[in-house]
Amino acid sequence: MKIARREFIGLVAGAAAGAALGAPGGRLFSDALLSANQPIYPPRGPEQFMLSVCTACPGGCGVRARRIGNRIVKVEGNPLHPVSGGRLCAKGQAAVQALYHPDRLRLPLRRTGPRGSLKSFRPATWDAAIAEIANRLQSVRDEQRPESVVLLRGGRSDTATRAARRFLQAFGSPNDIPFDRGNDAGAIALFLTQGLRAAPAPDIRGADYILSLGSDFLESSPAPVYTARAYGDFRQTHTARRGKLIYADPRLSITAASADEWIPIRPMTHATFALGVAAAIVEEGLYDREFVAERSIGFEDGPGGGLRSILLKQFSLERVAAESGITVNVILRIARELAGAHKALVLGPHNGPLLGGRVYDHVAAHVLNALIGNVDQAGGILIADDVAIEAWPADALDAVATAGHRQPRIDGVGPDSLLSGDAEQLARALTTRQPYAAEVLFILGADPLYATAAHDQFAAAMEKVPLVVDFASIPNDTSLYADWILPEPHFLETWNVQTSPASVAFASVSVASPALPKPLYDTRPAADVFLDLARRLGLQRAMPWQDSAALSRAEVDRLFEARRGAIIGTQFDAAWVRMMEGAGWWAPGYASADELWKRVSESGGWWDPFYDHGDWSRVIRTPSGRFDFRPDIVRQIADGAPAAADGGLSLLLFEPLPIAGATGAELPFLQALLDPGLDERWETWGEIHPETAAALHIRNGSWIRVASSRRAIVIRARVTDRVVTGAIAIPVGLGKAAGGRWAEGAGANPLHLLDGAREPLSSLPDFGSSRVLVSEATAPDQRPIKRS
Amino acid sequence: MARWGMVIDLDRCTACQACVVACQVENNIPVAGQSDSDRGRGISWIRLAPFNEGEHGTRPGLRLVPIPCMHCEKPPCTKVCPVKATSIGKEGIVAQVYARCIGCRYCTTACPYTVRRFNWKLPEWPDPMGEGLSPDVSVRPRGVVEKCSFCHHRLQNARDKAAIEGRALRDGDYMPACVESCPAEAMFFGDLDDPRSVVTRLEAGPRAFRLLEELGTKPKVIYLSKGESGADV
Amino acid sequence: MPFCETAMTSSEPERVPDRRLAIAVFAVSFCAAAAIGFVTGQFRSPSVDQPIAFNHRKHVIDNQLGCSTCHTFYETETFSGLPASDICSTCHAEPLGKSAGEAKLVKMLKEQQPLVWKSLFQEPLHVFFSHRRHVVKAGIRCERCHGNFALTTSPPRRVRRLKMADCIGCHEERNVSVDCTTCHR
Repeated sequence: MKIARREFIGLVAGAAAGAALGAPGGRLFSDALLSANQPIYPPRGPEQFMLSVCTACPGGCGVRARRIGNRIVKVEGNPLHPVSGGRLCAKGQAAVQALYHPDRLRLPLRRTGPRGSLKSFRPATWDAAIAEIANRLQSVRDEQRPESVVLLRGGRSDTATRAARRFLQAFGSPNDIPFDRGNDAGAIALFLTQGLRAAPAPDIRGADYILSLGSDFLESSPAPVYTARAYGDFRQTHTARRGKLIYADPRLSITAASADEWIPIRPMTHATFALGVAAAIVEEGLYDREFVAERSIGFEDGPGGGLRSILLKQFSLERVAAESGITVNVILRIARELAGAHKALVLGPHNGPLLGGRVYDHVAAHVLNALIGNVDQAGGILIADDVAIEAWPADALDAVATAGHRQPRIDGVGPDSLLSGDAEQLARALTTRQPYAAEVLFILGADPLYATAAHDQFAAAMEKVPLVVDFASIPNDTSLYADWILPEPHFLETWNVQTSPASVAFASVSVASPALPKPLYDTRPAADVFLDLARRLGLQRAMPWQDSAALSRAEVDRLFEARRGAIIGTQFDAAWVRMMEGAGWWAPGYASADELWKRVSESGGWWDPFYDHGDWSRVIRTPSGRFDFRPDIVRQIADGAPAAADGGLSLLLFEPLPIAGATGAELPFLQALLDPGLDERWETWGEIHPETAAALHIRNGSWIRVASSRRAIVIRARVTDRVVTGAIAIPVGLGKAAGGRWAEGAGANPLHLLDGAREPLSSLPDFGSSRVLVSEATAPDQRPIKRS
Repeated sequence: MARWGMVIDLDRCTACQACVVACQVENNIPVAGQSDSDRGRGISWIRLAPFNEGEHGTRPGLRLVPIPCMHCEKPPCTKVCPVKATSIGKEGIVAQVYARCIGCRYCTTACPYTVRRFNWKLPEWPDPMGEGLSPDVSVRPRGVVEKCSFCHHRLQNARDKAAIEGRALRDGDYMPACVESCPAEAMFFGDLDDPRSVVTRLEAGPRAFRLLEELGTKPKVIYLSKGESGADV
Repeated sequence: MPFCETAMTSSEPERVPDRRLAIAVFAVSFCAAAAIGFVTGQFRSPSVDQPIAFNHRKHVIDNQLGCSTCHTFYETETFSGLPASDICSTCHAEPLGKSAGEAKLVKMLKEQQPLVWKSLFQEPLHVFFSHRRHVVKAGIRCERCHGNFALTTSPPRRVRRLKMADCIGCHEERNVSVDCTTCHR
């Protein structure tokens, strides 16, 4: 791309005018003004670099904090770390702002007034908090009802989460409920086709052709830095030719802007489009015959016909073209390119940690992956290779706990459910007290009041629980409805052992020790709270460690027992380990658990770079031992009626990276970066196509009312051809009820527009099918202007 | 004498804006709240500029380009400064001396890349945000212009470290914060006069171009366009 | 100092009933005094009270201690550092001599009072100076900027003031960079 002078001047004219206008800055006494800065004196002290692991998202980047004296002034990637590679995203870079955020919780808060406002909370001591929680737990246990304790937890794989889960186990509650929406649909599709419960780890680096079916992976990956590094290598390396990226989605996302081609399919047609491409591949005989014949079922066979016959009968190019709005020629060309590419990869829809897409779309995408034979191949869909580091003693559960575990899960999820956790059903169960009443609800790393469609049900449900305990660094929407808000330390203040996130194929473990000599405030790691509770309840046989430091050490000792992998090191080290393990050797570079601990502390982590492609018994666990093309599900997709056009617009949701996962809006650096393409910041906007806007008499920049059957929000209109006609695209991440001075009052939360529809196949909330009415509006009530 | 330059590979760049925040943290850039932001008074030394190339055909018509100070070899800004508050150093870094700046903003107008920013007010950090300030970079007062410095304090630190280790500065020792952070590894930095440096090799490749080359400013920030490159990285 | 006397007399209400006159007199004398102070350098190097009257000569000349014994950072960091009490207490946990200053120090150490030294040399906030760079890289002796501190027997009331011309002069003499950014950031 070359940028001509005229275009550039057009672009920058506005900025230049803004910079040049206005009164000249009066500055007669520069020394006087400079001395006005005296209170902000730069830190002085020796420079040190402290290793840690970022927890701003579940990505698990190893980081290196620059400490001057007793202050942290910068956070960078740890150059040896295999996930971050020494790099760090905007959110991680803003960690310093989060550490020194003025609205961080400094003490435990106890609610004394009505739920829903921070004004109802009073500062309290840790002793009071732990005593009250422990008393309540003790009485629940005395009544032999351990199942009435519930944990709702986010997708992090850190020491705190493992400690919380273990506590539930030891206490005797089956209600360890994950809230990890971004990974759910992809994992369910993998379970339906490959029979194992894991999140897919697409090998972007190894691919040379990517068809993204609405996977906004450059903004929304579960591990943004790892994915960005892989993407860079996919585009330009000295070893391979440039990879090509095709993006099919109704909205031109940041990822689409980087793509070579944007295919603006209509809303809700991802699966149809994917299966149309699949039908063309089958019809032209371009699929991977060896994989289909030897490793799959359901292609030729199946009740009522196999995949082949359904594709050929139901997904004619004409039908797919008519539904998706894409010409037959384009569909055919994509099919031929995909099948002809050496290492092609298809990604199912994913718009962020809260918006994991629909299971139907993920199944369709994965069917396409299998047809081109990239299951568990380099440049294809890999399965993360885990390492167990839970250091818990076996057989440590008492009789009460054993009995409690026989109870059903309160959210109705059982071993045969597709869902791993059901927050909406949990809200209903808490309200109705069916199948049983809950006494204590712990919330760790999740904000269901912000992130579910059922937020008002959730708020009402929390009224019914006698004791709600939330862990937060800065209060979030859910915290306001808790009884206790327990202040969590920043990641630079704690011990932590974190395993690699979903979407990273190799096993890795990062180890963080506190980067500051002592925490800034009276905070406690959640792991310490659960260890303390276990001690007070007499459960220390199951959780024998004094604190999170001791627990971290015990978890790293488990790595020594694993007898594989190596300390993280240079690329040369990694190549050596990979080669040795490939040949069946293990050359660890440490001879004892003590040495492992010492070297892990110095380098920041451990990993196993070796990946064994085509280990079919590990990656395909269906009863048949073969990849299942699921003709039954493909037929459901074929029979599904196209979305009804009832006069409203399709609601398309996405999560900008700086505020993805309902975190980030509290930091002003991140609020200023919401969308570089539209220069959006500090507010929620709705993208509407010029034709649609004209039909609704909406002008660019005007206020609009977006209404669903449930409620309405007022946001700013952005008239742009970055979105297809008949739809409105709205970012998720602002509109918070809590989150400190910069988050509160900025923007609106479009998740609260959702009507609570669920996908029939999985009963996952269906975030894609909502329709909204859009009309002109007056400006919303003046929100308080935040100074500075 | 080195001639420092940056290469930004637009094919690797994902427009994630990590560079923007890395720069703000490194260089003590004050927090701009909503009202300042709305008035265009937020400061960033590197920004992502959108280039809308008309209709979105089969090729997306939106390009997002990171724009730091170009550190021009013929900088238009230094010529208009009445008090010599901005000047180009021997190693090609265009410097801004805040203690000299009188805030006339001739330079912000002269800069064709609009990378210079004016401090409309005294920066404030609500307690305890000031604790995160770096000792390497001064806090700017109200009424002065600031801009990207190629993190030249990092050059000096890297030079000190090399001298103490008794060796010459190596390619990669000195890297601005944006380059260090870039998750897609799309940014490169080094000595454009060193024939063995990565930036020199990339600059010579077929994808290299500069912004507004025809103005004769001779920017030392070089972009690599999207597309096949052969073996240039 | 003259302006102090003027200010005190003129602010007595019964002798000067006209407040405006008082303010005018105060303002004029204040400005005059400020100008004199500015020219003579009085304000820019105010006298400083240190926690104890430290005798550099005793330590550096008589006992042959290197500067880095107490100023521990100048070879590794940008700053040189003023000694914390643990450095003093390595020798002075019990009195070594009979001086009043030492007696005070020992008492403070015993009572665990922090030693709050006041820095005599401070660069303005827009100037950055690295001790490591000058001491280790350039091999410049401390006296070049700090004067003959080693010969003082009690904390000086006033120290030599460095100006930008001093820096530039030395940089030009040694043929090192005089780019603005070398010192200004």
